[in-house]
Order: sequence, then C-alpha cells, then structure tokens
Amino acid sequence: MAFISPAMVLFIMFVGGPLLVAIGLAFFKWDLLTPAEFAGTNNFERLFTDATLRRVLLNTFVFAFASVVTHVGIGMLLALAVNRQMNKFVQYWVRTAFFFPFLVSWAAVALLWKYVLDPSFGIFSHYLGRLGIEAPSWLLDPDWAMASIIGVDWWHTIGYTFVILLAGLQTVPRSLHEAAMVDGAGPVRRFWSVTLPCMSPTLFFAMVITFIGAFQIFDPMFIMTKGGPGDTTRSIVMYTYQQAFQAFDVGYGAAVAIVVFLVIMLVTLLQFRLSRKWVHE
Amino acid sequence: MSRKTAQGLASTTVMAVAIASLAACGGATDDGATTDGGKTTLTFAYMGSAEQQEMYNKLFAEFESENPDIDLEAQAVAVNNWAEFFNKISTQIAGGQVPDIIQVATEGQRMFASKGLLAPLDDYIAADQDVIDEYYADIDPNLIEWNAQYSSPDGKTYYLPGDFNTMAMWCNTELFDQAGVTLPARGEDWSWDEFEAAAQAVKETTGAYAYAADTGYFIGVMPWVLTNGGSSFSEDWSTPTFDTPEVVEAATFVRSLVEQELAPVPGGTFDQYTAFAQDKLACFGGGRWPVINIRNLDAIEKTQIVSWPVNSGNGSPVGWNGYPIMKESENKDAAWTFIKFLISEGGSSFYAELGGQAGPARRSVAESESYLANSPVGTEILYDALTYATPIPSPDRGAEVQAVIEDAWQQILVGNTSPEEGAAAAQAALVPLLAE
Amino acid sequence: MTATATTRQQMTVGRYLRRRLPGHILDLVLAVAGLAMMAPLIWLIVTSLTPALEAFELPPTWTPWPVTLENFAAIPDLIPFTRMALNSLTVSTIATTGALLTSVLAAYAFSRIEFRGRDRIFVVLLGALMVPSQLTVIPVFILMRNLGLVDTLAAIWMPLLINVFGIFFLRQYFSSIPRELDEAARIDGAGHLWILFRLIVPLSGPALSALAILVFEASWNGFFWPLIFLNSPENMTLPVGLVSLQNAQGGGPAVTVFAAITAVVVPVLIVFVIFQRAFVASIASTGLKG
Repeated sequence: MAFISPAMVLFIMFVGGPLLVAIGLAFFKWDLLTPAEFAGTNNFERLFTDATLRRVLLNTFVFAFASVVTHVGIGMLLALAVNRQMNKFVQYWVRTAFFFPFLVSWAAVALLWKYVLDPSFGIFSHYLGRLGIEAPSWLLDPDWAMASIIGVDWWHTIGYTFVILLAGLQTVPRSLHEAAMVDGAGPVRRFWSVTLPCMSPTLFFAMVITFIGAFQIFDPMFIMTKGGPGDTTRSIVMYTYQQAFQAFDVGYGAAVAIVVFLVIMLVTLLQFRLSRKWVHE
Repeated sequence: MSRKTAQGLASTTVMAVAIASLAACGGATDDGATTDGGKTTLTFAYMGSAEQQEMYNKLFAEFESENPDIDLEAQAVAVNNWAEFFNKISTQIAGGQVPDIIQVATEGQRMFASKGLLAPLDDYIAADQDVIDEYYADIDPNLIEWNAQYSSPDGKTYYLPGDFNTMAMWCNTELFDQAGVTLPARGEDWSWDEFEAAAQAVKETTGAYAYAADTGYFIGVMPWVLTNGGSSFSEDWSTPTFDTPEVVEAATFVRSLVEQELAPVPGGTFDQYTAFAQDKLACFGGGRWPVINIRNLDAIEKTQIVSWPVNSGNGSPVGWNGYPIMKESENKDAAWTFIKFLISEGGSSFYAELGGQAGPARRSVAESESYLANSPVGTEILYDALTYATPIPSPDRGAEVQAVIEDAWQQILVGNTSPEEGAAAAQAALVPLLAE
Repeated sequence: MTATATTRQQMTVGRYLRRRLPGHILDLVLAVAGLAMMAPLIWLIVTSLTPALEAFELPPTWTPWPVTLENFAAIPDLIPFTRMALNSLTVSTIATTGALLTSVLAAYAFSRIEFRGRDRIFVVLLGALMVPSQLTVIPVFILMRNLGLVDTLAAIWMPLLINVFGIFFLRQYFSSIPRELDEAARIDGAGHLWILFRLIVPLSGPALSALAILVFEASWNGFFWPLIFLNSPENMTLPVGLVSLQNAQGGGPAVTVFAAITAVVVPVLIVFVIFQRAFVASIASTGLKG
C-alpha cells in the first residue's frame, strides 16, 4: 500500500481533488479577487446559450479532426516511404528533420513561425512568391488563420506520429507480405490487406493520442493569433483561459473546462467502441 | 476501512477544503512588503519589456542610493499591451502577490480604481502640498485636468499624473533625402496627401516601405482617427463612435497605403526598428519608447521625429502613467517616498536621460539636455503634442474593447473587409461591451 | 523483395529504371522534403549569427558571412537567460526524477501487488488521463495560493510529480516481465522493494528512458502552466521567458530574439543528434506498448 501512497496523494492533490473542486467551482460566480457568490446552475445554463462557446467547440473539432487526418495520413506516408532499403544518409536526415521539431518548445516554434509567416519579410511567403503564388496574410486572414495554425502544429508534432507509425510498420511480419505476394497481391492490395490490419493497434493509438492532444490545443493560438481574427482560431481551452484569467469569471471558466473533459472522454470512448470493428489485437 | 468509505472520506475532505478556501478567499491574502530590521522592502510592478529592463534597474539603483533604508524590489511584467498587463497583475493579486505600487497607464486607471484595490492619496498630497504644487506648476495643465476627469470613479485622487506618451512619426532622413522630400520641422504640419505623396516618392526612388502600418489601438489606429477629427468613443468614453465617417475615412486611407505597397501587409512579425535602421522602412509611429531600440541600432543620427500627418487637424492619442499605492500595502509611507522620487526633478531627469519608456511630465525636464541628448531631432514634438492630444478612450472592459478595435483594423488593412463594413461590425461589437 | 546481387553494369537500362530509379527519386524527394522541414530552423540559426543590420534580407542568405556572436551576447540584456535556463533545468530534473519514482512505485503496485479495489482504482486512474490540465489549473491555482507557492518553481514541478500516463505505461511494461523471476527472488527471501529496484527496474531500461524523455521534454517545454503561475522574470522558465520577448513596446531587436530562440533550440538539437537512435527507439516504444 505504501507503494502507491505517494502517487495517490499526488493524484488527489493535483488531479482528482482539483477535478472535483472544478466541478464545484462551476456552481459559483467568482472573480478571484472578491468573495464568491453561489450561482446555482447559471453557468451551466449559459453553456447552452453561449454562441462563442459553440464557435470555439466547432473550431476545436475542426482543428482536432484536421490534426488527426494530417498527422496519421502524412505520418503513414512518411513511414511507408522510409521503411525500405534506402540511402543511409537520407534516412538519417529524414528521421532527424521530421522528428526534431517535436523536441522544441511551443514558445520557440510559435515565435519563430510568426516571423516566418510574415507577409512581407518572412521566408514562407517569399518563396511562395517566387513560385508565382500570391500569399495571403496568413495569420490575419479569416480563411487562412486556422489552416496556418494546423500547418504549424503539424510541423511541430508530426515527428511523434511518424516515429510511432514507423515502429508499428516495422512490426508487420515479412512472412505475411511474402505470402500475399505469392497470392499475386500488388503493393496497394498488400497495404490494405496486410499492412493496415497489422498496424491497426498502432494506428488506433496514434489516433487516440493525437485527438486528445489536439483537442486541448492552446499554445500556438495564444502566442500567434490570440484567437483571432475574430474568433476563427479560438480553441476551447483558450476560451477557458480567457474566461478564468482575463474576464475573471472563474466559475464559467470551470464550466467550460468541464465541457472539454466530457468531450474528450466521450470521443475517446467512442473510438474505443469503434475499435472493436477494425482494430486487430 | 472499505474502499468506498475511503473514497467517500477523500472526496468529502476535498470538497471541504475547497469550500473552505472559497470562503476564505476574497481580497488579497498576502502583500509583498516586509520590514527587515529597519529596512523596508517595497515591491513595484511595472510594464517592462525586455529591452527597458536594464534602464529601469539603473533608475531603481539611483532611488536606493538616495534612500538607503528602502529596498526596492521591482518586478517587470513583460506583456504586449496594457490590457494584458492588467490581466497579469490581477492574476498575480489573485495569486496572493500584491505589490505595493503598480504602474498604471490611462488605459486601466479607472478600472483599477473602481475595483477598490487602491489607497486614496489625498492625505499624502495634503501633507506634502508644496511638493505637489511645485510639480503641478511644472507640468502641462492638460495632464492635471485629464487626471481629474478620467482617473477617478469617486472624486478621490488615486493617481498623480506621471510620464506620458503621445504619437508622432519617426522618419528616416536618409530615405527622405534620397526621395527629395523635405520633412516638416517642429511647428510645421503635413497633410495626409502630402504624406502619401512623400511615401510614393520614397518607394519609387529607394524601393523601401514608407510606413509600418501597426494595428495597435494606441499606436496605429487612434493617430489616424484623431488627425481626421474622429475618435473611437465619445468624450466621456461611454458611447462608441467607431462607425463614424471620420473613422471610416482614416481606415480607408491606411488601407490604401497598404494596397499601394507603401506599407507592408500586417499579419506576422517583423522587426520594424531593424528594417528602419537598414533603410528598408522610412517611417514608423511611436512615442518616446522607440528611443532605446534606435539607440541600440545606432540610428539616432538619421532619425527625425515629425508630427503626425493631419487631415482635419492635429491629433494624437495620449496615455500617461499613474503610480497608485495599493490599499493592502503595509508600506504606504515608503511607497509615497518612491512616488515623490519619480515625480521629482532629479528622478524625472535621470529617467529621461536613460531613455525611458515614456516622456517626462515636467516641462523643465522635457526641455533639458537629459531628455534631448542622444535623441532624434524633433523629440520636443512629443511634448508639444500634449496641447492637442486626446486621452486614449479606455472604458472599463478595456481588453475586450481593444481586441475588437484592433481586430477590425487588421481585417480592413489586410483587405478582408471594406472599411465601412469593418467599422460597422466593430461598432456593433462595441456597443454591448459598454452596456454595463 | 528478393534482391539478386546485380551490379548496375549488369542490369539493363530498363531494369534499372524499373527497379532502382524510383527508389533514388524517392530518396531525393524525401531529402528535399526534409530540407523544407528544417528550413525555418536553419533560417533561425543563420539569422541569429548575422549582425542586426544585415539580417532579414530577401531572398535570405543561407550562409552567413561574417558570422557574429554579438546577438548572443545581447541576450542577457533582454532577459535573465541563464537564470531562466537554470529554472527550466531545475523544474525538469525534479519533475523527471520525481515522476519516474512515483510512477515506478505505483506501476509496481498495480502490476505485482494484490490489494483490494486495485483494478477499479486503476480504471479511475485511466479516466484521469483524459482530464485536461486546463480543468485542474484553477483549483490548483487556489491551492498554490493558499500554500504561498504562486510564482515559485514548486508550483510547476509539484503537479508534474504525478504522471498517469507513466503509471499506465510502466504497468503494462512490468506486466510483461515474467513472474517467475519474482518468484525465484522471493524464494531467496527478497521483499517487494528488492524485487522492484534490483530486478524489475534494471530490466525496464528502455521503458524508463522513454518515460524520462517524455517527462523531461514536457516539463522543459511546458508553457501553459508556467504562464499562469510564474510572474517575476527571475522565476520564469525558458518558454515563458521567450514569449515575453515578443513585445510591441520594445522587445529587443529581432536578431537578439532569434539568438535567444536558438539558444533554447540548439542544446536540444545537440543532445538529440548524439542520442538519436535511443531517442527515436524510446518514443517508438510508447506506441507499441500502448
């Protein structure tokens, strides 16, 4: 029992306890400076009428969905492209180049990309211009701001998915591939019938982890766009932060945070449910 | 005991603790000052961006040398604008760290005072009336008037007006020389059209950008709006006036500068001071604060400060610093000593010489070597502007108001919405923010 | 793919085009893609080595000449960089060792010790994996305030001592270590502690290092939590310190900001290049056991 007591104490102090307190907080109206007032279910009712909340929920879902698709999709392509006999230097280079950004702090990444994406002085728009493409003001254009964040986030975290998927790819037994080839299956057929099923646990893990992380996205929006233009890049976690620490409406911030928790739990449970259909253990 | 009982106990304890802390909270718990064997420690929180940190440290060292029994613990809060500063300070206060004095700019003075966090200064002023009188005689009367009108919710004095910033154009004389344009001297004006023509000339002859179209409320929006006779709010700050023709005209003008590629498209980050020093940028707007950056880039020689281009008349936003004492402070006397140092001729002069983030309130200092040395030609214009400046309208929900205005301006400058639509949308978003 | 040892001279052109060329082309494409990925970082490092007045040329000069270190020298004028780096190091080290310790202890209990309600508690723990830190931050903020720990490093590393993912991950790993080893040790009179630290832990090198890397990276790079809890520049960790550099009213010349970012990125890059294999293998293993 002593073995888990440190973990348990810490758990209650920093996870379990705060979770319960946060739920409790959502029943109050409090600005952190003056005494709190009991607010009953006001905060919860407000969740249903808050148009901004709907907006940020939508934004966050869009972001999370795009994140999962781009991470798993391109990660898979990369893993496939690298999992073969190839030039050693290139292999080393690709692994380094695609994985390393993951180890850099969001603060550094977001700051750097703000300069990179500057329409007049940054290198991204400059090179696009050389290709003849007229670049918009990435972070200020309502049509492009979210895409830009998705792109920067992809750049930052693809390394993790890539490595995980590559490892999963390498667990696919050669014998299965050879057997399939004997049966006359081409590369594409083999991918769908051999590779994917064998990799399904890894794919599943990648999707679940990517979604959970993506749904809680905060740092790049906070550093690069502050939720703008308008509300187009406001994530739900950013909204929580703003309610609690800028509008000083801690009770409502807690209520929104509860929504985050519920969504993550529900989607993850859903993914687990669906996994029975397609994940081979 | 059974697991269920254990769990039940645990959750009850947690809830009990939680409710206890909710009940116990309310108002700050701890303040930052201590007394240590005769020495008093004062904490002072100010908006200090990274580059001004060093300068402030020297100022504080000067104060400590004059007041050896007071230890000054200064805390720089590095944020982007005053709205974020107040959020940060409020969070800090909520976290139990209450400074003795804070630097509060116009944008937040009324808000802070109305939260009941500040100590009235009237008694201190009465006790040191001669010091205050001498000070008031040396500063622009507008500052005194504005301070009385805008910074107090209940008639008591919470702030003494201090150093301030107005807006002017910082111009690269080399680029303008090459373009064959003569910049207006102190006391002269140039119109929006003349500015545009000059910008085009610069672009044609040197290829450089003419103006960095900042989208900040104070730095980029209000100067254009005010020089066109408009404003973001009514004079008592209670009604938004963002969709007036004057504002739309101003937005249209700046947008056309961007369209003609006289100003870089906003949307990322680039270092305008470096671009200026590299002769890639002819003008940027600024108050006193760019002086440190420009000094560091050795570009003072080729800089001239010119008054903002006018369309209907001179205009400039103005924001000034106040230094209130927190109600919870246990070292109010020491805090008052620090405030007197800040407004004293010696303190003010020292600050001005170091560069300073804002211009000195005292006219005597503004005309002295300590302020003007190693500063661009035309620096006096920043003080002159006090005669026609308008206090930056700062309703209570300042952070949200600023976000709406800056958002709209950005969208207009980038071309995603027309000036009329952008202004109308902003106005619509502003009205509910004022409706409390 | 069975490969007969065919030298290029022995292959006909047709066979070469079909067999080897696609591979080479793909190699080239990947190499270029990698270059594009690294381009922002290369631009970062190159610019930080360029004097202020020559920086940000378009098109960019990818090879700086002359190289200067003056931007790095200017960093301390802007932020107490060394102090912040030390703070980050302190937080990360304490968090990593602490989290490893608590996770190892708890994982052992969940995997090897029978106690009442063990499985149900484990499920609750799993559920906690989905509790976002934004939900717990407000109550923890209140807790830290009452403890007087706001604006201290303790407020950052203490909550990092509990790592639910770590407990889960290690428990899976421990469960895959055969019980026979335990039994053999027990026959010799070993107790739980001995088994854990002398038997299980040494066998769990890869898993422990994977966890250590993840926890260290998360605590070193963490931004949200320090943003809320740390106020004074002397107490800040590097990420928060970096972001404080982007500042409208004078945040320092961009080249110095770039130098600061480089100073944060390059040490990690060096460590990574040296330990690349181990790094990647560790991270990969988290996906396989999950």
